Amino acid sequence: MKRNLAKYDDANLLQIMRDSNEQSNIAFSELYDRYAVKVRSFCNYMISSKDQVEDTFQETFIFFFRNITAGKDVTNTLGYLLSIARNLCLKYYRDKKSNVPYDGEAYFIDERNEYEQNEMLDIVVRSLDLLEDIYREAFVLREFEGLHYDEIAKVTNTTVTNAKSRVFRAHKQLIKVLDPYLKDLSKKY
Amino acid sequence: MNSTDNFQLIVDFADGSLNPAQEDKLFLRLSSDEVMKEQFKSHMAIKTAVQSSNGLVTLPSASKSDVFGKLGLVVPATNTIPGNIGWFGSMSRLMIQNRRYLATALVSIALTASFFMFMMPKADLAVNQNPNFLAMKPATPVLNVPNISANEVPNSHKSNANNVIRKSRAAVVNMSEMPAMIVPAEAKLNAPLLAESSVITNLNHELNRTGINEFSTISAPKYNPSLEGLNINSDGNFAFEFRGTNYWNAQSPTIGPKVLSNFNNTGLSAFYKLNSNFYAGLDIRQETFFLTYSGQENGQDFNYQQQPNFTTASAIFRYKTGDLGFGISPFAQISAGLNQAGFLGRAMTGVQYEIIPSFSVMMGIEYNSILYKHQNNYFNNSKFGLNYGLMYMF
Repeated sequence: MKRNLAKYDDANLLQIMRDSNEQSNIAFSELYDRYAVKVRSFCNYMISSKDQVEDTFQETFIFFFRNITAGKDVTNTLGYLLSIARNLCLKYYRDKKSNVPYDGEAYFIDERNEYEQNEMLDIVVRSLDLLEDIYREAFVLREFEGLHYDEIAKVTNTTVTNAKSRVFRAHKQLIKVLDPYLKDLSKKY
Repeated sequence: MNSTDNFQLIVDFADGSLNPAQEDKLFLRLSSDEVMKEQFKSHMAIKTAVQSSNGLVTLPSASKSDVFGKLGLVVPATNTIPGNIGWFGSMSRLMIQNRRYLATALVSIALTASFFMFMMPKADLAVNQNPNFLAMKPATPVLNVPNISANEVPNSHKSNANNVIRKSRAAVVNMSEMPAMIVPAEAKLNAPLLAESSVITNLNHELNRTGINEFSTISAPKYNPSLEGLNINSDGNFAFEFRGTNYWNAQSPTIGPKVLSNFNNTGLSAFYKLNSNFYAGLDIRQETFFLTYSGQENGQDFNYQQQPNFTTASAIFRYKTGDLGFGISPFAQISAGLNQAGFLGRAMTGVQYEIIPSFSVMMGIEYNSILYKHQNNYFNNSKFGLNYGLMYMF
């Protein structure tokens, strides 16, 4: 009789990864299936380049596998995965050494086109590039990933108060960036 | 109050963290502050747009194999591992995981059984030692006939009147050639009447006719064909069944519940025995069900997938055949019920094995189908289950 790992909680799967060479890839596969969409979503909203998104996404899981099989003790799997993804995103930005400056046109030339059906979402996502890194990640973790402030604080290595403040400022900056569009939208309706 | 405070109120409202007094304050300010009203509309527009992103992220199919390939691993066909402990191991794990509930159930069963055993009135076979008294046990007719020579009674009839019921049935064939010792069914309903002289006279007449003239104090179990349809395998008509189930969804799940409920994949049924073959009852079961459906939000098409925890309550109807031998009886069961998602129909077939008259174990294969509704459209999913459990009959 086979045991379906879908019924196991994260702690059991992490233990299998740590203990068993033969079955660690199966436990890893189960964890990948559970969290790949969340990690992918985070990378999508943090990085504008599609190729870079794919690289960062894959590297996140590769780091995760290596660290867990090396004996790393993790209590919050999603939080740990997002921490790795975040560090890789920050590394990408450090390497790139620039954020796209806001020039009023920036969000109309981005290469992403997955959200054409929803104009508002498309513009919000494109506008994320104009936020500072710490605000963008706080906004993505809170609004797109649905993390609580204490979880955001853990992922970003800061206090709950700071996490809350960053989300607040991200919202404020976004409204400022989107102000012309939002006013136009407001007139339509 | 500055604009930052106002905006904080808006953000907290969207987060759902305002108390009623703060909400009143927010709405009061919104009614008089145009700038704040614009901020509120903008913030809600952004929140709504972000919420519409749920389910939009798709994973390239090659990503997983790329990740595994870079790690020198092979993507497994399914996320299952060989179970080296088998069915008993699964059962042990299930019982250990639910040991608190199992202990509670066992204590409840023991207390209920004690109540029925010690508190309910019982027929007293030794109520009258008069040699002419015909004593009756409710389900097993017994005749105390004095002065029958032991040599003239087959060995199989020498068992004590208080023998277990199964032995009483074994004596049926041999006893059938002794009509004088068969007790009418009505006797059970009105035992004192049997002591009347007319009955004894008839008995004496029959005994004389068969050449038995001397009386001894041997008691023999007797067979009453009119009692055959009665519940002679257990004394009651109520039963409880505690089950565990292994499920296989017809459609391979792509998502699992984050947290499983404590009673997941267990069920409890209460049965009422309508007759020797039919049972009706109620069933409550904790389970998960993989659901897929589609819908529209903000003009966009979405496909939804979820596997929530459900508590399902059902009405059940079971048909059990007679004993095929060794205490094994096949059964078929249908049930219809409701849970938080929709309507469930189930059909099960299996076998029941009677360990002792009150206790049975069962195993059955079950087909489960759920019908549910989203945005005026109906959807259905199905799964198969392997059920195993214990039935206790009161």
